[in-house]
Amino acid sequence: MSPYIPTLANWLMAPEASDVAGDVHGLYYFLVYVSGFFFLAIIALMVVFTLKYRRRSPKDKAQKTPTHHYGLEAAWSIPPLVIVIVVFVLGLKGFIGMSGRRANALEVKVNAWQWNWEFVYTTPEGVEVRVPELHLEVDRPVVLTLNSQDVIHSLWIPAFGVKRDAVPGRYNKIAFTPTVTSAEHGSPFPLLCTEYCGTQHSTMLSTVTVHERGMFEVWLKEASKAPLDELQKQAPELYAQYLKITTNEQFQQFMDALKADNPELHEKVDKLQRPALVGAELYTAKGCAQCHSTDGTRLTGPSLKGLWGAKRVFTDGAEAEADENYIRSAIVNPMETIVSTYQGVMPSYQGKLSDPQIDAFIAYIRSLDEAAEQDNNQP
Amino acid sequence: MTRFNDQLGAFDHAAELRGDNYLTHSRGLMSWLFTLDHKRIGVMYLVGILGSFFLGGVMALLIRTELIAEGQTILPAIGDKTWEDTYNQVFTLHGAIMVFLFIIPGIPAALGNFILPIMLGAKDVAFPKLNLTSWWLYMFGAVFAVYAIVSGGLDTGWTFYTPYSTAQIQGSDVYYAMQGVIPITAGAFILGFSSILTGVNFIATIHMLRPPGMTWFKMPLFLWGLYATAIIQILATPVLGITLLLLIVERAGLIIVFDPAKGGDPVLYQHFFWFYSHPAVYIMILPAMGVISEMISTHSHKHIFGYKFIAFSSVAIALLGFLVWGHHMFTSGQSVMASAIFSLLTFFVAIPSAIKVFNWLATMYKGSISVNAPMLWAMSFIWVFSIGGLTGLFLGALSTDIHLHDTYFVVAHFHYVMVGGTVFALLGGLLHWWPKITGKLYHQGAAIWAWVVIFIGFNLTFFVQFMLGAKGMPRRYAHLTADALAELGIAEANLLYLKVGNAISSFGAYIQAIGFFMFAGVLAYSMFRGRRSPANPWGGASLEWQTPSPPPHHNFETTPIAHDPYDFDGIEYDEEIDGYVRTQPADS
Repeated sequence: MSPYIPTLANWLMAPEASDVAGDVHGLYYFLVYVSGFFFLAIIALMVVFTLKYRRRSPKDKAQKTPTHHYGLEAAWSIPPLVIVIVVFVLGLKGFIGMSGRRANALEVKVNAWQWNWEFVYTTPEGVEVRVPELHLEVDRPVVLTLNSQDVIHSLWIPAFGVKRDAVPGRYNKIAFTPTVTSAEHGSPFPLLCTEYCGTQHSTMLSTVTVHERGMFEVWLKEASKAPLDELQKQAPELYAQYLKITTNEQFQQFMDALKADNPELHEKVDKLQRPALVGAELYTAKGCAQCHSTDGTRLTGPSLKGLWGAKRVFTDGAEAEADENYIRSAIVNPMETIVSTYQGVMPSYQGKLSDPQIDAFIAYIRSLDEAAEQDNNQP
Repeated sequence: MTRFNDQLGAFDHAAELRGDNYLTHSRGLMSWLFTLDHKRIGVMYLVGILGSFFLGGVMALLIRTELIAEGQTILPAIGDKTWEDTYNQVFTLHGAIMVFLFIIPGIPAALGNFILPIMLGAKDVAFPKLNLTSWWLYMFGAVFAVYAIVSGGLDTGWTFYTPYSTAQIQGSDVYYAMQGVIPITAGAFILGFSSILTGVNFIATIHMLRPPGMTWFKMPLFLWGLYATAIIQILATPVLGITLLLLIVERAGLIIVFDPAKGGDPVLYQHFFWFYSHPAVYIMILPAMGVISEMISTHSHKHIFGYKFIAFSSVAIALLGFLVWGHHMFTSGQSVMASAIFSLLTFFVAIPSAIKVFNWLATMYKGSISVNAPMLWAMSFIWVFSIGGLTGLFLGALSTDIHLHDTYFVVAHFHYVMVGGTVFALLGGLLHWWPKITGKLYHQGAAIWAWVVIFIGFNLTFFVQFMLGAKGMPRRYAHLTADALAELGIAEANLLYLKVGNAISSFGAYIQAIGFFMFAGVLAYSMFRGRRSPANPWGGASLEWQTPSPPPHHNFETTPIAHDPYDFDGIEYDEEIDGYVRTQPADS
């Protein structure tokens, strides 16, 4: 909240629990005052004129006044122009704030489908943890990367003032920093779907829990450990097997065995996917290895190592950063963005890979560099 | 009193003697359905759009009744569908009917058709047969839309967003739109042609049939509004037609444009759709502003202030309207740069709109203001349009829009602009020109009471929705969600607010409904029992007040000579006829 704009009573707006909401509320109340002023001025003039110049007899005549005055009209066009430009700049500032990147941000993948939300965290060990509610840490920046598996959905957290569409076939991002914990707020924050998506659109709800400082890691460990703890408790020999998994094939065999053996436990462990392993398997199975190395060697196509986050320059001179949207389009539409130092020979994988498989690829490509980083850090 | 004889005195008398006017000129249903008379076509449009308004209004009452309390209240589950599906169909039909069958054709096709040629002193529009074709296309499109309801329903929202609207259920567990998508979009496609043809007709008429003495800057401002509207109708509507055609063939499984699973882009649809549908907002509001300019000046008996600024602001709004469609898509993931440009251009639309409001006020200054029913509608237009316009600032600004997008704040905003703006202007304009259209006066007191009830009901219904949206209620929700959120462990004061706010809003909707029935009653009574209206009951200065009420078949016996349409000098009250007559020629 901008300190120079007094807030109106709480009944006008959602609670304010993030840095973005601070910007939004500041501009909102500024606009309430500006609009209120203009509205009251217009109505007051109208009422005064009506009372003062009311026609009392049908024979009354209007008084003669000028029919135009360019100076006056220019004069009353300018203050609104100045005001709207100020509002535009304030709005843009807040918008860039939530669209931009944040250093050391917590990254959360958000999957939407009819009519559920799924929030995906990656543990330092590369295990994905999938939960139906959003968990964040106070004062820690967060970037949500949204994707939908069917129709368009939209994620809205009123208390944080943020909203972004979850669109099938692309990855949208939104950034903010929660500033109030759930404990301070008295309850979790509501999270709603705001893009109409069919029958149960209005019950596509979830909650956001904002943990106190340091408590988020504890929660994540719990969330990722809980299924494994249970596995360890219920089936120690399977747990030992789980720890030895290095390929997706082994992981799938393990999961199949677990499903046959203990479906209930399988469902819990299933929340802990290993997308990088799936991506590694696809890398061999789909023939990617023929043209793309994973160690930096130049083959027919660029190496996947060092790809994540790198700047790409294309044959038409355009540039892009290798993020989720780029990798996706390079897989389904490879001929549209050909890196300038290579020949465009890759066939399209449109329709040959499912969305989760593409996600797995992205996770695999990211894992190549994270592995390298860890190697560098541990000489 | 000497009565100035400009085509009127003698002619008025002769026509009255013959008892001939456009209503009595020929008889029988066929003489209406196949008439080439722009006045009859205007009246038939009026019947069509008011019928659609009634249908859409019933849907609105169903929506508000459903939302009066948590959970299912009135809407039943139909067949294998849930009651939420029924709700989704009802709000879709409310939007589609109100937008495509009521508001877009509303003022131009009904009031415009009737008034435009008379204001020009012309016998008819430039292409009378094309005009009749437009009306038949309108009816044909309306039949398609109704067919959509019975042929499997429609639950996409009036925006038909892909991929929800295009994809078919193919044995998957994904639920896509019901089967009414093709008929209703085909209906909207046909209605688009009706709109384009009306636009072509109006542009040709204004260019070719202006009377001697009427230069571009001597045209009544309503005609400037209609002209600007016609430009949008011609340039933007084809884009909607192509978009809907693409949607239809994709849904029929013939091509892929929007389905992301097969390489299409669903957001592309939003660009196409809003490229038409944002300018369409100005199709709705520009003629309304024209009506208000006429009413404010006429009922204040005062020359409109800043004629050229008002005229050019219509054109400016029409042109800027083409450049702002992306402001519907700030959350869609479009680039920051694109969003910034769309936001900035959106704010520029605020300036011509503000100019109009200031000019209307300056027109009232030192006027002779008649506080009658049409003037109250005009003044309340300024009230509601100011709220609608000012809340547009909240949605044009990027950061606040992100919070408010697709919430009840937006619902309230566009109802203030469209109901508050267009419907208030339409109903006000109807009362303003009713004596001209029917030749009958109506009971002023009763009409004012109907206005009071609708005005209070309207503000009660929609003002609270601004707060509901800002606090956290998304649009298109069958559930209030207060209980569902409480079950998830949310403990916020907002939850109570959701319930109370929605109950207030629903209560306001019932008050509005009563008001609209009162309004209909006033007009029905006037039609059968109303006093005869003089040619010029309000003391208007434009040409339509110089022909008898109702006008004869050819509007004017001889082509009148046009003067400044806002020169009220020499218009005097005549007690004998309880109306006004011109006693000296206006400035030319």
